[in-house]
Amino acid sequence: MMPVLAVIVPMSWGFIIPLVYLFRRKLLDQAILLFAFISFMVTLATAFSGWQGYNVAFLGGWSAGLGIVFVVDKLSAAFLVLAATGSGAAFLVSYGRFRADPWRYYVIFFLLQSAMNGILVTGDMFTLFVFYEIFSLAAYLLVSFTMSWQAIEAGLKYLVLGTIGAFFILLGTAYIFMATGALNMAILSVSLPQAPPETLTVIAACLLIGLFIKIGAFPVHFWLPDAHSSAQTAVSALLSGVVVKVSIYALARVSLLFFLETRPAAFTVITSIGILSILGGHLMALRQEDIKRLLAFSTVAQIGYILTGVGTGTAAGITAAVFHAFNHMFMKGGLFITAGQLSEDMKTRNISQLRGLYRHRPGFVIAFTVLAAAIVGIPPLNGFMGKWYLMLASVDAGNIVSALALAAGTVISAFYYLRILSSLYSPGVPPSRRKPFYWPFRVTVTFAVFCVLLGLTAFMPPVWKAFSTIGTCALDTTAYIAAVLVE
Amino acid sequence: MIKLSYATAIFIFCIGLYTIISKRNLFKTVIGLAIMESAVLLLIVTSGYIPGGVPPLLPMNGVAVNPLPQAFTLTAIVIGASDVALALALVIKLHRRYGTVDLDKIRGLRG
Amino acid sequence: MNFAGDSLTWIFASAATLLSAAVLLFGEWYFDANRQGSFRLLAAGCWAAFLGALFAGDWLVFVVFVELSTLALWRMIAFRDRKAATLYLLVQLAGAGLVLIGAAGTATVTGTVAMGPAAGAWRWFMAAGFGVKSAFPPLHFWLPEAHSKAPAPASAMLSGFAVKLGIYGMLRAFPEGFGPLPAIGVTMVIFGGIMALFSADLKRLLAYSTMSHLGFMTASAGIGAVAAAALYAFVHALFKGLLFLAAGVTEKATGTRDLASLRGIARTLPGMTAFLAFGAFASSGFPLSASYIPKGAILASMEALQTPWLPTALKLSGTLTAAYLLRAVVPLVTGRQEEHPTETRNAKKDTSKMPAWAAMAGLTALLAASGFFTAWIPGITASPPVSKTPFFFYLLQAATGFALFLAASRACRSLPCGLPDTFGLTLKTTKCVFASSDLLARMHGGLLNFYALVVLFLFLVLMLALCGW
Repeated sequence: MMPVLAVIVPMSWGFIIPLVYLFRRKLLDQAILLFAFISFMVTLATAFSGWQGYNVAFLGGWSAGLGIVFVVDKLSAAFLVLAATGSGAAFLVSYGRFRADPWRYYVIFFLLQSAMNGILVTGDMFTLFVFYEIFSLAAYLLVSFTMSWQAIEAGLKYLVLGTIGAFFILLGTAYIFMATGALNMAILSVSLPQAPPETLTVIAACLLIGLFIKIGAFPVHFWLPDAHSSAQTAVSALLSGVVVKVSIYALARVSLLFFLETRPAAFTVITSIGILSILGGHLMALRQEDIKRLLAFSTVAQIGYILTGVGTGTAAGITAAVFHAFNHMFMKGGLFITAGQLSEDMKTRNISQLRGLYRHRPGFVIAFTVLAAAIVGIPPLNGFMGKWYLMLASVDAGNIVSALALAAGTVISAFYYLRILSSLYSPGVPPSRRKPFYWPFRVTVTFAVFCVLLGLTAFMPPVWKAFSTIGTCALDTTAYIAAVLVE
Repeated sequence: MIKLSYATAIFIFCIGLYTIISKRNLFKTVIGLAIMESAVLLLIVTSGYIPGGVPPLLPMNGVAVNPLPQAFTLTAIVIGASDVALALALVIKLHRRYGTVDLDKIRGLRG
Repeated sequence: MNFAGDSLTWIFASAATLLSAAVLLFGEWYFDANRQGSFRLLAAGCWAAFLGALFAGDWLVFVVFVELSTLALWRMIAFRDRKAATLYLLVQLAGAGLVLIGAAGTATVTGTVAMGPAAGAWRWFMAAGFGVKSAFPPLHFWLPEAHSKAPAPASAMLSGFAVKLGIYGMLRAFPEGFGPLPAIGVTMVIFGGIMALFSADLKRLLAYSTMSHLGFMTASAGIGAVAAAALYAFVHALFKGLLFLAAGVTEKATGTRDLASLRGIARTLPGMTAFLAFGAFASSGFPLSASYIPKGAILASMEALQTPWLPTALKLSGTLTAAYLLRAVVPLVTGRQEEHPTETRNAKKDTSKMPAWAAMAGLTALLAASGFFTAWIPGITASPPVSKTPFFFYLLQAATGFALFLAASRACRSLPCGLPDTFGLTLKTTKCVFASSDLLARMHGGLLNFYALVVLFLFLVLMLALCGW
């Protein structure tokens, strides 16, 4: 029941908000706040319901072979917590900025959240595609919401490339259906190994390329810098922090269930694309003048980090990838929010013009410093611990090149984040008026504090043991199949 | 050998992809998306065909073709329609700003 | 995460403590009031990070504290020269990354990250990482830049202790020694000596001399003579600290580091020249100098091996050492006195320079004591082996060194002094990185057709890659 609620509740808010706007306009502010709070709670409750064991919901009572199944296991639970936290933070930032004024924004926002939860709990390939498309449509709308020409252009390019990716996923799903006659992930995990090998190649290639486009991995990442830099602040934080991670979840789930025995080369492919993303993202970020575009390319690089973790195909790798996904949400979310507020103050996004901000908004700049240090990988913050666990997992799986790419990435990212920091701390003429940014400031500081806390707690063995159960659970396909295929 | 319908579907898919890659007019890009969508849907629907089958409607006299792909196709048509609608809306907005739908000119976000 | 400490830790920890105390005292005089607070914080933080790294029980904690000390030193270098500071930070981050890879690999083999010997091929990664920290050629390109352009207390901490963390790591990772290290060590000794001999700048000379001494320690680590290397590290921290502090006072008083302009400075700054001379003597390896016992211990451990070229090469390098030390000290004493700006000197004379003098005098006293016996150093459990070289050999070395020094200074008068180093390679590498970045940027031209083409291309690549052969 809980997984279904996680999908239905935000979706219903999406439909109720226009009714509230039409009939009870005065209540709109509080209504939206209440809706967001309830969605947050429901998502967290779903996550906790799946933590101890498998929470399987059979829609309509039909068993797995006939109907749609929603499954929450530890991997889904971790990503549900991530989605809830990230969406909640983005909601607070946007609510703090413009209350409930563009109510259409919140409609799309809740649809996005509903679709994200859908992807995270679905146990069925076609449902995955449907939720993926709702999710992508909402994302395209959110990117182009501000209606500036950059946003529209970025939204259109995101749409075209994202739809190409979606059609590849649909093509892969079609081939899966043609080869096995089933679409339930657990059943497929059992029956795909019997499919002819050429079909498996095509299925793997289609699914992987579709998911890579959606994730934003180099070299099919071209929509990402445009979209993440042209969107408004809260949407950028949401996109970089949560949307990308949900796509990575889909990739992890599909690869672990389908390709572990049938096409282990898929994991090598994922690792290679990860290494390419690390290098490509960092190298492109070196030459950016626009701070939000730089942060977007940094996201491409961090996606590469997470992909190298997923590509190991081991429990340690998946755990490290999930841990880094959490880290990146906190770090990049905070960075985008800060960058957004600072560039709004100075009316420019050019790094060399963002000067003298330390005197003007010391809290934001200090938080930015902590977050930048975390994302570069300075100990003892969480980025360093994430990097260490990723290195440990990569070396364990024999991928030395990923470990070297991780080390090289630290050096290059230190260079360009130092450039931003030296600009922020340098003396300059600060802007005259100062609008208080209540919620963005608190969210950023909370994220910075989380970075420090996550870094310190990752040192402690008991906390890490709890985290590593995520990885072992993700790899435990037999238990997954057994939980779903109960008669 | 490959069934004719599958080969056609793949061929049309390639045409759609080729349209997106080589045409500079934004409307043609959107049409390319629609072509790709039709191709995949053709593949799905014809995959459920059983030779000598009847439509899956009651009352049935004989073996019905697989209705599951037809259900998927309907869903995917809806999704494709909303994608194309949003794309066209964005194209119109872009045209207002750039005055053209030539992709070579619509390159404001670069680097 | 755990901490441990044995006698090796205690030697290094006492070196760190003595050096940091001297540097903190020195900083009271060196910095203006507005920098005082941050310097105290950074130096104390750096000291704490050093201790944390030394008492670390596993490699992860070690790297964490080493990087924290890098951060503190980076800020201190940035007081004076931001580009050198950035170079230092980036290079040290790369080195730490390599050590992490080595530690991760060792953990794969041994199952634990505890601070122990590295395993198999991972030793190369560890050695490379420590080599970045301890200036193996060609990874040493940052050393002359960072050490010479930093303010004097930072240089003292850098040369005095930060590079020793690499040596400490090597002693922990290779307790039985590691094949290539002795050869690398000898290269460092000779290369550092030659570059020091032909350098035009006092602090650069001292930086290259650090590289030369590190070569001794590396060679000793390479054959597994842990205690001897540790003892050398301890003594080196003290005399290099003294040398950099004295050089710092000289620089502050005269406004220049250039050896040619510092000629005859002994008349105006007799105390500093005396400290510099004493520090140079302490580093020479001559009998009764502070480094005589450690050098002798290293040579004695090498003589026990079957590779005669190693101790011979190191013994002969004493000539180079004598030559560059003479080059550092003799012009200050004997040259014709040039015009020195005296305004800053008088201003500094009025403010209390007691802390600076006290720091340097303390280091001098400890060095003098070490010349005679080493039992007072915490962590020394047995008296070190004594080398069997006759005293006559040292006199011969001093003489040949003097001759070499005269030849070098004659050469330096006619040719431009200061040999080129590998820094040019660094610039080329950076240019390559930026060029590839430019190439990538051309792909991001905003052309949607191209983006779709890349999708098609990647699809074909994936079809090939996933073929399942």
